[in-house]
Amino acid sequence: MRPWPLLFLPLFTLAASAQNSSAAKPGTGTVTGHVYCADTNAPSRVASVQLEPVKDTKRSGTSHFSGDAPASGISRTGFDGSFTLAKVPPGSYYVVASAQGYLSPMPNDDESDDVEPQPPPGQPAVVIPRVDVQADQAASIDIRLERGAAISGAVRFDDGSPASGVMVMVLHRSKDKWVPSTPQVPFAAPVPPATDDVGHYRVSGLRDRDYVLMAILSRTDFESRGARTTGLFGVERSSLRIYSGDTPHISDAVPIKLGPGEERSGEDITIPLSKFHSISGVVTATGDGHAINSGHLAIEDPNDKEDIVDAELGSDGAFHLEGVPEGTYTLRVQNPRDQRIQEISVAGQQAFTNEKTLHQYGDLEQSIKVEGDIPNLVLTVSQRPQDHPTAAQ
Amino acid sequence: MRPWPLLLLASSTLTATAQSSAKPGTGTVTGRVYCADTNAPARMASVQLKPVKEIAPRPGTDPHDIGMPASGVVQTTLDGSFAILNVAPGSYYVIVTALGYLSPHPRDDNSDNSDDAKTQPPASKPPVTIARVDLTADQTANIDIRLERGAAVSGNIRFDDGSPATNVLVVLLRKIKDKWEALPTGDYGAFAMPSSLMTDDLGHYRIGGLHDGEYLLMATLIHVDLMPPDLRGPGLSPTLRSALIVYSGDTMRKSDAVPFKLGPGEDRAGVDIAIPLSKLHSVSGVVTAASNGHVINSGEITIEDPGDKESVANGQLDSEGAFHLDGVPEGSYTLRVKNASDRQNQQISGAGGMNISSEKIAHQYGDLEQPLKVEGDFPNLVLTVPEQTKQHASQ
Repeated sequence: MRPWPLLFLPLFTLAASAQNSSAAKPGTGTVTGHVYCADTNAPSRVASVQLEPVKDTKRSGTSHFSGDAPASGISRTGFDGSFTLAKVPPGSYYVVASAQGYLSPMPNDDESDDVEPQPPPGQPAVVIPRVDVQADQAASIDIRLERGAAISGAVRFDDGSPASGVMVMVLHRSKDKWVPSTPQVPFAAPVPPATDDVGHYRVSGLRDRDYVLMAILSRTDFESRGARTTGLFGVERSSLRIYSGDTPHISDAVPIKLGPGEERSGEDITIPLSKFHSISGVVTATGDGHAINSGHLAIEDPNDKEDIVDAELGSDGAFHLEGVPEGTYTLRVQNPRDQRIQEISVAGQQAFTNEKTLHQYGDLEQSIKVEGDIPNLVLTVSQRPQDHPTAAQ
Repeated sequence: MRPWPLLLLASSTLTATAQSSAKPGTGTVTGRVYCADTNAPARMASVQLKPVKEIAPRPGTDPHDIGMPASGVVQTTLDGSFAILNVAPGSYYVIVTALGYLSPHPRDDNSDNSDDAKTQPPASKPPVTIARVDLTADQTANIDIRLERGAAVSGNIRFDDGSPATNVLVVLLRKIKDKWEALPTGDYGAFAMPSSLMTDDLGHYRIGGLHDGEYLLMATLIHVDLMPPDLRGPGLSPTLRSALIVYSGDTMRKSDAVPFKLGPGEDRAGVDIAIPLSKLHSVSGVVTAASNGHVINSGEITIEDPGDKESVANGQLDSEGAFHLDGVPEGSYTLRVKNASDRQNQQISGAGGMNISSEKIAHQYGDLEQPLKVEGDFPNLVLTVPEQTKQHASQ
């Protein structure tokens, strides 16, 4: 693994702490500084700043970033871009600043994957500023944030109506697979952005590389599970994915190349409803033919082994999968089981539910050829094979 | 209270249920949802039933809180159809929500609610009504619902130097009984229409699904630090350092805010707010005890406009007793410190090396109220809080 080249020379202005010496905790230091936007030279306002301890990077190449809550907290910059992190134990830290739309190099970024291209000659690699904190001292560091690339567009159905409330994720290639790129911005929405009422989406703060967009149409029913139980239980009844290039097959997805800081608009996705078929039916048990009320269903593309559509069984044992184009697929029923929902009341007032598996069935895998809607498919699961006695433990 | 006019005739096609798994004694509600503006099916819309008799408002409750839907919530499929199974017999409102569309609320037309800002629909347009369905045991009721597109407002929140204000909370206010009130966000539990959201990396926002009427836009810039309660303790505790509120008309005073009108289905762009940073000052300092001058590590500080008694800026004291309120315009204010107290952190060692920290109030102080004239930045304001008066201390 390569060492982190230091682009930002941390200015270790080691001044005696001029802070209210009564309040500062003895034996700890303070980190102060400013965050600027490299593209506008304006202060980065209300950016998040946190410290990540520099661990022994020589030992293991993978995770020298703890992922824990930062020990010294997360501070936000003021309107002048300034920040102060107090009561920092002595040591070496990466200073991770993040602001919406800007790049936040993290020590654990998958840059350490060797599949990542080296930065082009003449262009510095993105580096993480570092600071050394000493007891009872204040260290000062200025950070410049590079603007990331952004991608925006609209998701529509092929009849022209906007697809609103659709989750849009960006994927990048890592080790020959497309994996979700999750911009790590503390305080930002924890869920992927969803399209607005006109189908518009926007994802920002992206590094320059190839991306594939994934639009997820998820239909979730919320079931009530008892008269006294508060809250509703979500059951994902159908979830379909459409990739850039308006295809449900990730292998057919058309990648989008984003340059550094590029602002790309008009990356629209059309959901090809007219090419879709639905598969509905019920999962039953061999023998008495009763409906199975719990389990997972997936329609898999046999070529790239990626799911086209998947769903959970509801309490009625029925399924209604939408968005399957013509073709031959592998249909899977995973973890089918009879489940009983028990309502347990506490002190006669509040109640919560408990799911109890009464009976477990074996997984089902069969080939399915889709040429039109399949309205009444009855799938039958049988007892688990007895040739795995150790699995019962 | 006038009766609900039924625009959508619930064509209760009562057919014998063919579902094998339906519970005896219950019924099924099926139907389709369409978008009135495009005639396309409303896909992935949320549908729930609400018993008619439960809608009558009870005194002292939020008139928009209709509680949890008894029958759960289903989403329409790609052809706009839905089915709700195992519904107890009775009369129900069918409440449908879809992004950008109006969700008629059972109480929207209620004259008891005396929503003064609500305009009556023009004579040419029928009033918005709510679909109703009557269900008997072991039957299926079928209902088709058409959703009207709501108005939408969009724009950008910027600082007055032109840079975008990202992650700003944008909330719409509507006039209710001569007061501007935030649109309820919890109308339908977790299935609320976004009447508030955060700006994106360009400072852009968009709120749809609105009734026609007069609105104010309120942008709140929240500065929250996440601080460790103690360096060994797990978890971070949020400290609100300052909250800055700017209204449409680029003013920090609600009384000076400039309202805007939305017509039915209007799509209004360019409702922008410029945060007047160049006119704003910061007020920083520390809160100490009047008795011996030690810093107070817990409490709230507010700068209030004495004219309309609205808060201009507010924040919490950090563990060093310090405060930093960004964004106070020139003027004369009332500064208040409330709930000032000495807090102690206790580390409780749990099993498995887990440390739990709990806070304990060691000493409570009295409130402080003093006038503050802001003409520039206040970098080092030292405030002293008095001891509690005897009457309060005895409580």
